[in-house]
Amino acid sequence: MVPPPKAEVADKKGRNIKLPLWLLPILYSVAFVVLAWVFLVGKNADTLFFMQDRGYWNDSMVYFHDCMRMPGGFLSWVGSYLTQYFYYPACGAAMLILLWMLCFCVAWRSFHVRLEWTFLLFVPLLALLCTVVQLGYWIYFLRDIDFSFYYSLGLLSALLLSVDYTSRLRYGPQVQIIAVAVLFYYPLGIYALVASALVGIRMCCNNWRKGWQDILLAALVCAVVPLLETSGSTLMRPEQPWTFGLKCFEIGPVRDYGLELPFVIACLSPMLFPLLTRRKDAKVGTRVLVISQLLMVAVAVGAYNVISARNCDDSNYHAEFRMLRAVDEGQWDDVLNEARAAKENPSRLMVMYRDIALMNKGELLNRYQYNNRPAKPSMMSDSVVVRLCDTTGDFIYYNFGETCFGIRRAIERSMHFGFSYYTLRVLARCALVNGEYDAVRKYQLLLEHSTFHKKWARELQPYLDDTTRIASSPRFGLVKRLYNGGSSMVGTDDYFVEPTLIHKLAHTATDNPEILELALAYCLQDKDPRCFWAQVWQYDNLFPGKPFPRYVQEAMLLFHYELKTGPEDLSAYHIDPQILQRYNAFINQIKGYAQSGMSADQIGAMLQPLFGDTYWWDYCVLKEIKSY
Amino acid sequence: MKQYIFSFFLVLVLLTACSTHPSLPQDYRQEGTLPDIYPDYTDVTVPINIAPLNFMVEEADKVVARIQAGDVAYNYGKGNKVIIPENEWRELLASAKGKKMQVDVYCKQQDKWSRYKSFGIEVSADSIDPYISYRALAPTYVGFEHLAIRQRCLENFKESDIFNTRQLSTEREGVCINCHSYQNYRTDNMMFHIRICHDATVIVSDGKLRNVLLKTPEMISAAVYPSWHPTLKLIAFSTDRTVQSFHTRDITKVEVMESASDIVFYDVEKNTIQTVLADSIELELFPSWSPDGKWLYFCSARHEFEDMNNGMNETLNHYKELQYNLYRAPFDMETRTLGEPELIYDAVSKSRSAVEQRVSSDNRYVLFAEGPHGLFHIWHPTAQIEILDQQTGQLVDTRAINSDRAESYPSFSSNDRWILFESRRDDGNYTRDYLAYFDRKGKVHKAFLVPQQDPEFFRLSLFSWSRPEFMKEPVKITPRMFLDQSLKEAGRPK
Repeated sequence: MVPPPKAEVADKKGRNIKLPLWLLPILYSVAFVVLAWVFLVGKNADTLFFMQDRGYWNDSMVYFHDCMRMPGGFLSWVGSYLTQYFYYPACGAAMLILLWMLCFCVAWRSFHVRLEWTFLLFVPLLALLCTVVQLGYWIYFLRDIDFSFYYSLGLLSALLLSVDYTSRLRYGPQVQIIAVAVLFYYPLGIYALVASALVGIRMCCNNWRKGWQDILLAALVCAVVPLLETSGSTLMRPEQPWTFGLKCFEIGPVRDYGLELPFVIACLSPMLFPLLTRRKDAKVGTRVLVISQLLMVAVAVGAYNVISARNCDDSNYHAEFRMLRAVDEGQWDDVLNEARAAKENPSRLMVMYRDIALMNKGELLNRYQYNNRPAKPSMMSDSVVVRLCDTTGDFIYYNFGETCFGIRRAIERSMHFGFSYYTLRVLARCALVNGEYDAVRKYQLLLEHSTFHKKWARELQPYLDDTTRIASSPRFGLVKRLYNGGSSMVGTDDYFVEPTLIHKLAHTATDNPEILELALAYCLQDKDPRCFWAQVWQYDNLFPGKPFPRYVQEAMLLFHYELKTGPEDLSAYHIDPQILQRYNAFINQIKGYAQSGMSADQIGAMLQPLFGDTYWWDYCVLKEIKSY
Repeated sequence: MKQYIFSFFLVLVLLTACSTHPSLPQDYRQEGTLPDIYPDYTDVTVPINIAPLNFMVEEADKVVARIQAGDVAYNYGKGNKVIIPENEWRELLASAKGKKMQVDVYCKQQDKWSRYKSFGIEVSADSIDPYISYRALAPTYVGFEHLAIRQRCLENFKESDIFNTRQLSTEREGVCINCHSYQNYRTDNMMFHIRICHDATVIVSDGKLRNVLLKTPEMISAAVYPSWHPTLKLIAFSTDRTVQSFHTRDITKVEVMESASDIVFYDVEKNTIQTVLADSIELELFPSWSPDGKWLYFCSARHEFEDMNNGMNETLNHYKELQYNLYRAPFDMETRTLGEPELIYDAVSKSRSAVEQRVSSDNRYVLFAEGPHGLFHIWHPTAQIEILDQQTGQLVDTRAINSDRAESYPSFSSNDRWILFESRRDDGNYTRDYLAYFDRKGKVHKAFLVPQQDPEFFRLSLFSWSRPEFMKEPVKITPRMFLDQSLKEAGRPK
């Protein structure tokens, strides 16, 4: 039995104190696990769920062979399988952290790192943690979203393949360098090269005079093997064999190297591990221990600050994920609670989700009771505005019964960023509403091949068995009625989802009372008096004598008295005297403030306590709401 | 030790043998219907050189099929799939040449076996061109990120990329590749277009590569839909202004229209372009040569724009009125000039639109796609494949190859006996390639899906196989050579 290592530190009286150094890696590990858990589960559980939803894996050989066509294909296949477990964020995060701890253990054992320096083995793991939490809106634009497990498994594979299995054999390390790269380049991609390089570097660190040849061999192998093995491959550009699998954050003219850096650190920093190798005769002195622990503190503080700074903590960004999930599951109250709890002005995406929830509860006209002030546009890397059509435009279209546009946007986005469970669900829903039942069966089959989405797919079966249930079901009924009530035409959305929907719904000619109320609600948003009055007349024809909803009455007053549109005499319609009284008060106040020289913002702020819940306030104050 | 190793291998061999040729169930219920197999290969006629027709029964837990051809018979079944080894399939085909092979399917569901009505697969002695090429892409509308032109050997399951956009496209700039075309089913003379980035037409002429930007100031656009003259170094192209618009409710989803189009000849050797059909009120499109090279077939829609400067909008507003008839014009191979076009098929009078015509070797049959309007019939659910018999002026009965979903882009094999076309019959959205026998009497036989090693492949694939073309041989130029050429600066026609 080898006694656990201890450091001999002299106290003030010159006596030697033995410190249990073996505790250090345990303490480092505990600290790392806590940090990772806080950032993954505590701060990004919704992000992890979203990541799996935008991922894709299926248990068929067709998918397996498709993955295996590319370098790193096996990592990609296993990575996308494990990414599914983010369906339960805590479970997925636990698996990821476990994988990282395995990396640490293998690295520690493989490189015999001095105990006080083992904290340096966490550098690639901290970088990997950073890659998960830093994404921000890029998350909507990533093709291979399985990267968190891909890179972690890659690192573990590289460390396992670089363990010293062969140094006692003649030419053993050289064979290992070549065999690892040649045999594992396709399944593991660049991580096979990392493993080869690690063997070379380790040999060099062990014996510089002989080892330089191994480094040279590793360099040669890393240069040649990818070239030979991808010769004839049509799945990459000629310069890509050495970088295939490394994440590239580039879209249009923008490339964010800052986001790529943690991936590079995670991949290359293990190359330094052999330098930490313990010399057999080395003893831990006080000075070394103090220096190492000071450095550890610096690394820990630095890592925490970097990860905190990189972590996307935009409250709207996270609220959007939660609202999307709630809309997806039909949890309308959760969507509205999220809308009410928003700390900042809502993004357009949040407004759309909220309106979908209101629409499904039959309360769309109550949208003026919520905060409609525009948030700053969502940005990627502070430079690219994120458009709705690139995020969840397809799903929003579906919820408004615009299923053809929904399919179009889903397919277009998948063409760029790959198919996902999310996309398949959107496509299945759209096809169901469109009456394309064989297409539904296709998407259902694909989802049934997954691990966690098969239940959702099977829930479609009753609707396929009896398609008359679609229109009457709470789940698809409203969308089907919106689809049926929509007008048939050709056109395009020019990449603008919200204005397309507002314009189309406002101009919908319908005698369906439910759709008509929606049309009226969208007329209010469209602010087109001609269209508004046409819908008002239609409403009056359909429901003679029935009072108009409150916000429609508010709009009638505004459009009639201020914009001088509509009927010559408004008395033909019943207007609630209280609304009329409030309207007069609003107009008097707004005119008074305007005459006193107040700016529009100041007037808005002054009027909000009394009139913030009215259509007039939104109409007059929120003039510059831009759609993206 | 040796005996253990031997036993191990013996067991392995036995297990393999069992799994390849399972025994037929003894206890089963006889059903009076045909089995519901996917792909549907029941009572089809196949060429003597086709790859194994692997199939599956989706609803079954287990399947065993007995395939018998003359004295040769094998049983197959692995889960709910029937996978036939290539060597045994060859044996079965050879035994059934000119005759039928009989297939008996047994399915196990809820622990009970059922035997279904036998069906036949007729094996024609007429072989099929061994290769096809097609464009693999998601059924996209505007995007074109990941797509490839691929080639597939019909005699087995070998498949490879001819060119893949991933070889060239970056995150910054995407690439589109389209319109692959061959001279006389051979690949020594072939071409395809690269669009957006490295914009050019890549041409292989007698095995030599070059890339040319086929656009002159007189042309409406760069060259689009091609057809190689069967003997001359001459490619007929349409040149057109394309408009797209999207349906809000119609499951057609998209309308692709031309607001202007002409036909030009590109002389590959002289590198010159000559406009040959440019009637201002005719939208001439989809040129295709007769196999003897003496006729140029094309389709054309007549449309007088009220406002020529606003053709795009007018096209959008009147897209249903754009219907195409089929024409042909005599071609003088000496002077390389076209004679007066003649109408060969009046689709407009039936309020239909006929496009994408191909002609049989004897000039008798014209194969084409017919839909309600426009030219991209793969998006029109009512589009059908039709065959005009020029001898009788009548349409051949093509019900055997059509379905109630969109069919498009048909072509004849080099011996005229096989028809290749694209169809969305499987699910309405994803294009698949189908083959059908066209016998010497001019009768069309039931169409069947291009066989796949894994019969579930098309069920799971989210790619469309569009624009299929027959080839007698694989493309010899490697993808890397195409890439190197495309990276060079494109030449210009004189």
